[in-house]
Amino acid sequence: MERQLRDLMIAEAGDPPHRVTVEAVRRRAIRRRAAQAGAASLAVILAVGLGVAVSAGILRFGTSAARGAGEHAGPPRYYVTQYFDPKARKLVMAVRARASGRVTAVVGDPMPGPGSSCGQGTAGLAAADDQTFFMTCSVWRSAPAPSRRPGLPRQFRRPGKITSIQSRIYRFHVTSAGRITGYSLVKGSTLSGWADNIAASADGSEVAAEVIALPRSGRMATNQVPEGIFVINTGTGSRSLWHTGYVPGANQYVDAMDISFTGNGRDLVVLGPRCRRAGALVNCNGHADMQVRAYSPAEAGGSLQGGQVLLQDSALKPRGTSLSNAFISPDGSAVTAVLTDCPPHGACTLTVARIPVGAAQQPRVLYRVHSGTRFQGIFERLFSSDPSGRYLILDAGAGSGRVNGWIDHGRLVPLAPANGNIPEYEAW
Amino acid sequence: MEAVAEGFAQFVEARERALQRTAYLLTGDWALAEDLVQTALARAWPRWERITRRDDPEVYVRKVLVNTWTTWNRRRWRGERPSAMMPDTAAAGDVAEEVTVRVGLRGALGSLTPRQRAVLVLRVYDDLPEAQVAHLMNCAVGTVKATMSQALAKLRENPQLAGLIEQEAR
Repeated sequence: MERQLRDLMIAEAGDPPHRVTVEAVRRRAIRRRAAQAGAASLAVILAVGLGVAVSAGILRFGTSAARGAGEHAGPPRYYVTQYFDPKARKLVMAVRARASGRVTAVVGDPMPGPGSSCGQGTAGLAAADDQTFFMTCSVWRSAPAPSRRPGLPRQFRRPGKITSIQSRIYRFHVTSAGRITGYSLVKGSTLSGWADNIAASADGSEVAAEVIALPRSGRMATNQVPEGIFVINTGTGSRSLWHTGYVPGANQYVDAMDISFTGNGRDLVVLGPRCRRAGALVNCNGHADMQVRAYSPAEAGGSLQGGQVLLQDSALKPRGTSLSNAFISPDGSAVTAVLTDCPPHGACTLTVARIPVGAAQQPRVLYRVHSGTRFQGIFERLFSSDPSGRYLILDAGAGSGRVNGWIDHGRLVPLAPANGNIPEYEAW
Repeated sequence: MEAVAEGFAQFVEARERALQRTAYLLTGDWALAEDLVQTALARAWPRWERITRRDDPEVYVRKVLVNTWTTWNRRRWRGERPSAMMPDTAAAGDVAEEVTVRVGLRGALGSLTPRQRAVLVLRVYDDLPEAQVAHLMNCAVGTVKATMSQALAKLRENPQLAGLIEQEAR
C-alpha cells in the first residue's frame, strides 16, 4: 500500500507552479528581521512610556506631514467597491471585508430620484485615514424632449437639453465592524458641473474634484476639456480652482487621470496628458505626453499649465512605456505609478513601480504582469492606494485574464469580486 | 560569508522543488506550500553556517518546515492566499481522471491529524527512515511507527482512496 500511496502522492504533487528563489528567501528573511526588530523596539518603547511619546507627538513615520502613514500595521480591513450586481441588475456601492470579500454594508444613494448619478454609481471615490471615504454625486435637470416626432416611442426620442448639473461630495466613515457611519455632505462641495475625478488628503482636511462645466449647448461631449480642479477645505468649506486655461497651439493640460495630495493636503499632484487641443475639445491622437505635475500650495489655486514636472513618460525607458496611473507618496518623495509597455509586436507588460522624485535612486518594482496571450484589456485599469501609499489595489485586464487584488510583496492577493462582476471603483 | 551565501543559494536552487512538493502534500495548497518553504528557508538562513557544519542542511530545513507548518496549524492560521493570478481559470483538456486522484488523495490526507499527515508525507513521499522522521518531529521512533500505523488505518477506511489503491494495484 505504501508504494501505491507514494505513486499517488507523486502524481498529486506534480511540479510546483513557481520557483522559490534565493532572492525571495532573502526578502522574507529581511522582513522577519525587521518584524523582530520592530517588536523588540516596541517593547522598549512601551517600557519607557509609550503614552508620553504619543501625546508629545514624538512617534511619527515619515515626515511630519505624512500623518496616517504608519497608522495601521497591515492593509485596511475593509474597502469600498462599486460593481455591477447581476442579480439586482444595477451598480452597487458596497463595503467589503478584505479577507473574506463579504459585503458588510451597502452605501446608499444620498440623492435618490431621476437625474441622479449616484443611483447609477458614483463618478469618483477617494479614501482618507481611518477608513473615511469621499464620493461624488451629480444631479442634473433636462428640458422636455423635443416633440417634433410625436409618434416616436419615448426611448427613441432625442433627450432634451441638460439645463443644469450640480455635483456634491459626500463623506462617510467605515467602522471597525465594516458598517457605515457619519454619512454627510462635505461643506462647500456643491459644485456647478460634473465632478468626475476626486482625491482626498490623508487626514481628510482637503478634497480635490475635477469638474466639467455644462456647455451652453447643453450637450456634454466625451472629449470636453474640464473647467479645472477644485480644492475644497472640508473644515471651512472654502475652495480654490486650478483652472485648465487655454494656450492656442501649445502642448497643454487637458484632463486629470489621477489626482493625489502630499502630506495633509500641502501639494496637489496631478497626472494628465499634455497635448495640443482645439478650444474646449481635445483630440490628442495618441501623441499625448503623460506628465505628473505638482501644484503648491494646493489651496492656492492657479493655472494647471504651471506647476512642477515630477515625472513624464517621454523620459521613461524603454521608449514607448506609458505612465498610466500615478499617485504621490504622502511625504512627496516618490510617485507610485502604473507603467504600461506595449511593444508593436508581442505581449504588453504592466508594471507597478515606486519611482523616487528628483533623486538618482532606482525605481522599485512592486508588481509586474505580462499580458501573454490571455491578458487582454491592459488599458482597462483601476488603480488606487490607501492614504499611507503602502497598500495598493490593482484591477486590470479582461475576461479570465483579469486580475483584481491588492499588492503584497510582489504578489496580487485577490479581492472580491474575483471574476464576472468587474468593479468600477475600489478604494481603501 | 560569501561561501556560505553561495552554498545557501546552491541548496535553494537544488532542493526548492522537492521541498515545495513536500510542503504541498502537507498543506494541500501551492501558494501556502511556497510560503511555507520560503519561511522555512528564511528561518534557516541566519544559522546556515552552523547548520552546514554540524548537520545535514536538508534535514534541518525539513525540520523547520514541519515545525512551522505544525505551528501554523496549531494557530489555525487561515490567512490570505497570495496568488499571482486569479483562481477562476478554465481547465485545459479532460481532467476527470486527474481530478479523481487528487480529490481522493486530498480528502484522505485532509482526514488525518497534522501529526499523522506529517509522518505519512515524510515517511512515504520523502521516503525517510523512521529514525530520521523521529528526529525531524522531535519524538521517539516508536511514536513514528504508531502514528504511521494509525494514519494508514485511517486511509484504508477512506473508500475513495481504497478504491484508487486497488485500481493502482490491478
